[in-house]
Amino acid sequence: MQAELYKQTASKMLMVCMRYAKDKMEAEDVLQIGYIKIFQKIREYRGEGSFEGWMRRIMVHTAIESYRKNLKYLGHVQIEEAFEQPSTGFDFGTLGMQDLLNIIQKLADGYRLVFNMYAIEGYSHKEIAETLGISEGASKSQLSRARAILREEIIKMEAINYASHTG
Amino acid sequence: MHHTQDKEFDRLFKDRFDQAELEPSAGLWDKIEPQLQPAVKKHFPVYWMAAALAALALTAGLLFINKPEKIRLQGQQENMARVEDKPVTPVVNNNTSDRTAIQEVEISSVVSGESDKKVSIPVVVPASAKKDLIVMQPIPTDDHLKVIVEHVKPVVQQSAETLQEEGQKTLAAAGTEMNEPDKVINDNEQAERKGIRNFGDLVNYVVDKVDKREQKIVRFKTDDDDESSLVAINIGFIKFNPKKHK
Repeated sequence: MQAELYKQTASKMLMVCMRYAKDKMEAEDVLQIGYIKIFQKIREYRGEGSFEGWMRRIMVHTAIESYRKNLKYLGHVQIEEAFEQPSTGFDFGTLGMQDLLNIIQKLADGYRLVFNMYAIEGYSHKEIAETLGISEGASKSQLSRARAILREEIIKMEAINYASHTG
Repeated sequence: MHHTQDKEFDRLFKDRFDQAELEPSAGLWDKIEPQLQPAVKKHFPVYWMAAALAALALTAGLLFINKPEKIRLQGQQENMARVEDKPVTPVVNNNTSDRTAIQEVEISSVVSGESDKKVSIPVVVPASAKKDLIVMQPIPTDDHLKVIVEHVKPVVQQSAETLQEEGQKTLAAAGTEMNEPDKVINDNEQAERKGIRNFGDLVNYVVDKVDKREQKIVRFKTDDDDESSLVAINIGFIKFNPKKHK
């Protein structure tokens, strides 16, 4: 029963963990703790929303917990206003999911957490601020900085891909 | 303007990741499984444990409360004991407190059977010996009864006639009550129940309903004078039964 649930959901859940982690090893550590929590709390699931969504939230919280300790100075660091890229004509066409994952995993912990929580999980800045114990302003500036870095990285990567295709 | 671009940018990521999957390493489940709580696998007898604990708590309270009453109990058994010793010449006694001691000795002869002859001659116990007896009352074992007999050995006989009269009166009065208490004691804890008269009976009754084993989870010895004492406990791994049947 438990093994069956794991077998059917683990690959999706591991992908959630991968976005928050630096590599697969860390992601699997989070996955492990996350499943233990899921089986401990499974009686608390009240059928509100999809079960998969409930599992995802547990995974996300587990991931956040394991990286939050690295964020303690995050709120104090004055982050310079994100350098605004001209974002017109942005094309992900040549970039696959694995490329984007690699870029996200290269982000510093704070950027990675905030970007994941806001852009993919759909948390508000207020929720992020409460969850991470930072100010809403810090959450916003982390997000815009994260986006700026991601854009730069994407452009670089597309250039490399373009070179390798045409070269 | 920027806002919508950012939204668009975020959505591109979200779309890429939404259905993405990655197969975990092969041995990962084997690391998770041993860390899961075994609660679901084995059904733990929670109700049993609760019942056992409740019974134990009540028992402890009961034993504590009952201790002072032991002396009164002996006073009532006196009648029965005297009847048993019919052929005996009643005792000489010049002192009422000493009489209590005699009665206790006679009871011991009834209960332990084999010591009948030793005590068949009624005796008067010195006051000091009597004190010891009372101290020992709360331990209802055959051993202690034998000890009593020893204590009693040094006998003093005085004014036999007066006590004889008194004793026979008691005998007559006690004649009717003689059988029942005797049986209760001799049947040990297997005594048949004649309704629920005291707390021990109540517990025994409830436990009988619930626990169908030979040795019950908790067993009280009960007798007719509202007296109960714990004689056996069996909570699976904990067993206490000082009066195991031969």
